[in-house]
Amino acid sequence: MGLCFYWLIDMLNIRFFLFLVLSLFTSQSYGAIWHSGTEQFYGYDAVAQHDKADVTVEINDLSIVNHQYDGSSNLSLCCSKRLVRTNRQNASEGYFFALVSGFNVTKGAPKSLKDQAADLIPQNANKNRVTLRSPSQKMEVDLAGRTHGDVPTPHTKVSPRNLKAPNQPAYNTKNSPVRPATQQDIRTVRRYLERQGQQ
Amino acid sequence: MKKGFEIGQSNEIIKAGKIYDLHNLYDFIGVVLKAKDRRLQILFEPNPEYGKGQLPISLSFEEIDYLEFSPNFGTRVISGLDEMGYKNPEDRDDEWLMDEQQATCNDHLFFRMDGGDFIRVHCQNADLVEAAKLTSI
Repeated sequence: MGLCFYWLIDMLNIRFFLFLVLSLFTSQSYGAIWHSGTEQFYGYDAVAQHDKADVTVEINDLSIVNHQYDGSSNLSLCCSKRLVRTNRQNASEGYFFALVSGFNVTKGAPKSLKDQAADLIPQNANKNRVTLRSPSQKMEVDLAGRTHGDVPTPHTKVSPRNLKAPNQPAYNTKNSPVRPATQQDIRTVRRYLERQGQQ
Repeated sequence: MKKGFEIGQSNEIIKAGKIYDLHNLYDFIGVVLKAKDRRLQILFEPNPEYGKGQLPISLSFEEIDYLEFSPNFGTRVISGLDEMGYKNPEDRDDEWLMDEQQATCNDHLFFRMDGGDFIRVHCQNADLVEAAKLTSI
């Protein structure tokens, strides 16, 4: 009798949790972060400004990525050793994240670009600049440092390749303005550094 | 030109394995030219916000055989360095710069400052000196 009672309570808890998750899929609350009930925080970025690597939450001084997205339709929410798999997602690149309370949550939103960029410096051998080259252009991203051209860091300078220069490859430099780094710039740098780290 | 340093990325000078990020961590202070001795110093000090823990540095050039400043150099405030690289002596197109691997000992060192002003120099000996306090030559 007692076992059946606990089994029933456990099932109800799981159903309640699944209900909360599924209700989020249908609520279309884009970009919102809110506290639902007593246990979970949820967020959803339907405009895909961020990907899963951007969403780190500091819990007890540990930086974790607390969700997994397979890039197509399956999203796993993992928190406190609990894993929930759903079967569909409304936005192709949006994400959810969930946290169980009881942790010391210092940030519940995606990090600012400034913080994301600063986090990449240790992966870049503690250097502030990352230079990426392609056959057509060079992109220099300053992750931290002085403001240049009234543009604070992180900022980006993209220099098209100068095919007229005698010493190739050469890239234009003088006329390339500095612009604020975008989320895509930071993502590109992160992936580049991850690839470098794997080599 | 014998140098005691190398240019890394276009914002960096590397000496004895240490990277000096002149673009991001340092403010440009000025130049000291001692023409009778053919010597030049370019002075930088750590940016108060980003250069904490760094020491002021001086780039020194001795036995100068080529020196050029942009026409308006010194008439506007220059707060920092934009980039560094090398130029072939005959090449006046400073839209692009060579890196350390592309340059030869005959090429000019090119310092592009914020705002577009530049210093172009060639000498026999160049070095970077780190000092607790900037002093003139």
